[in-house]
Amino acid sequence: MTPPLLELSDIVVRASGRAILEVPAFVVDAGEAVALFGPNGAGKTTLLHIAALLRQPDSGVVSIGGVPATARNAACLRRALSVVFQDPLLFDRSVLANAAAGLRFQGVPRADAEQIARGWLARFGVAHLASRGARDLSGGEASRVALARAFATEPAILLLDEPFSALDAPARAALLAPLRDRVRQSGASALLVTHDLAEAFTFADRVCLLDGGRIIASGPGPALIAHPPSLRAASLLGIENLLTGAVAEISGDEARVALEPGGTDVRACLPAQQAISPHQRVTIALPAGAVRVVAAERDIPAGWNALPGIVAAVTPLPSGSRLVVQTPAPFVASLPWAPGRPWSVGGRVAVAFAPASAHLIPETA
Amino acid sequence: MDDLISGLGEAARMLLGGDPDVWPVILLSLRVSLTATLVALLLGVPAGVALALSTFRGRPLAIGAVYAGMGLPPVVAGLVVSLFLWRSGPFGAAGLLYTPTAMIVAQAVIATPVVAGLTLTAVGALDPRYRLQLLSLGAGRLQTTWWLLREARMPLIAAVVAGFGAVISEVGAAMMVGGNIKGETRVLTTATVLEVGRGHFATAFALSFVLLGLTYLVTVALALLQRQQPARS
Repeated sequence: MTPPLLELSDIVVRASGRAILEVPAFVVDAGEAVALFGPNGAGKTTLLHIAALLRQPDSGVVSIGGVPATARNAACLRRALSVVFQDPLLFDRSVLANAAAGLRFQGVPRADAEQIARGWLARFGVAHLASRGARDLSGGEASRVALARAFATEPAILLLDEPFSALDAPARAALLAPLRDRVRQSGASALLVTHDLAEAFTFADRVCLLDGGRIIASGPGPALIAHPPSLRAASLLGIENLLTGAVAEISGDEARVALEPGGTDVRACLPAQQAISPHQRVTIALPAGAVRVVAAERDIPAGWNALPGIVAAVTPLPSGSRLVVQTPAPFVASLPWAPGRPWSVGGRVAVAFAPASAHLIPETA
Repeated sequence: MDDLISGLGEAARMLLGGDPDVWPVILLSLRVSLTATLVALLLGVPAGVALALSTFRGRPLAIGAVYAGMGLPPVVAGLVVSLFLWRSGPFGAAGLLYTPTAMIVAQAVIATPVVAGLTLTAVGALDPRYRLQLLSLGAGRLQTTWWLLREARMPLIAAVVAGFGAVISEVGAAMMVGGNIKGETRVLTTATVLEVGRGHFATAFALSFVLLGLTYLVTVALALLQRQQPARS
């Protein structure tokens, strides 16, 4: 069995006597793109620096390609990695010299290094800037040069620390897709640190949630949304409806939950991972996109939960609108864009959702 | 005021008229101070880089010593070098006292902490992530140092200017270890002191103007270097 490309085991990092990072196991396999998502101060950058062998953990081992890193072999192992930091961190030289830097450090002759670097500059659409001073670039151009520099050494794994955080949203979006494609084409693994969930989902095969220095969830993005393992994870994932209640009855693979406030009954599928028992207090995690708002009950698909309510708020968004409906438990629904504004505050509607869309989290989790 | 004006005139006459006495003094001043600055660069830059980038026990003490050294009075530097070079001192056998070499040594002692301290500040002021970026690109220790120095070259040129300024203008050490011997160790500052002592204020002013002009020219040359755009690679 081939060892994972990057493996962190029993990592502990302390600062001021407090553990700021505790990662018993973290793995990135060959060709895998992983996003490390979490709020500010979660320890994402620390984890990335540990993985990049730029910082030594207080305890634990980092292995690259199955080889445990030591002070002696770190410089050699680092050649399998490329790091892109939050800022482009270009040096005060020409764009070409920056892009070729990694190759030059590895002893590649100048002409060859510059030829390879030009190729990568071209792939990121900045070949025409090769002779410019790196400090004369716009933010987006500098980010592209930093990416070209990282790819030029053909690393086995790219470590990206919020590489676009200095850019505005359209520039970020314009760079993320080509970056993802380049990573896929090159066959390299990638670890993207981000606090932008959409970025994490767009980029990665697998999303790891880091909170308070611990990985609290890991899996493909959609699976995490469908089955967040804990209330904290659901909250970090931005799942809009986190409704509390108590299990009234369990029948087959469904539970009937009495919501608070109001005591309205809804049905939710039992999670495969966690045991739920009757009378247990639970939270129902339900993405706003899974909630339908209908004017008449006859529009509700068979087998769905349906709750009558009153529209409490309508927020128009570029992609549609966001409704809050009091049932009396408040439901948030995100609705696709439609011409006209059929929903108005105070209108009588019904909210509906499939039991399979509602994920139960026991209160202890 | 008259002395000042006639000093200006005499300075022009000395330089343009080819005063046989003043050119050796100017050239020796330049030779001693530029060599001392070069020595200070060779010692001070690595020391400043090492202090900026490494962590070791006693680093704060070492940094404190460098910063204190930046204010080292030239007379004290001259005294220490004199003690070492004195006939009965540890290096007395070399017979260096009252030679330009002794002046270079003393001035290097003065300029090295200036260059080291300003290098330390310049490299320390760089975003620490530049170093991480270099390490992650696979740069070795020397490559990392070289690239970081290039990033900090603007303040480094300021360090050179400060180091040169400190030694071209000092008089205490040059006097003490050089002895102001005409044709051998007389430099602009010691010559100026001598002329004031003789009551030749106009000549003293003339020498001062030459000194000022010289310092200005060297500083401007370095400043031009500072303004120059980075090389292509």
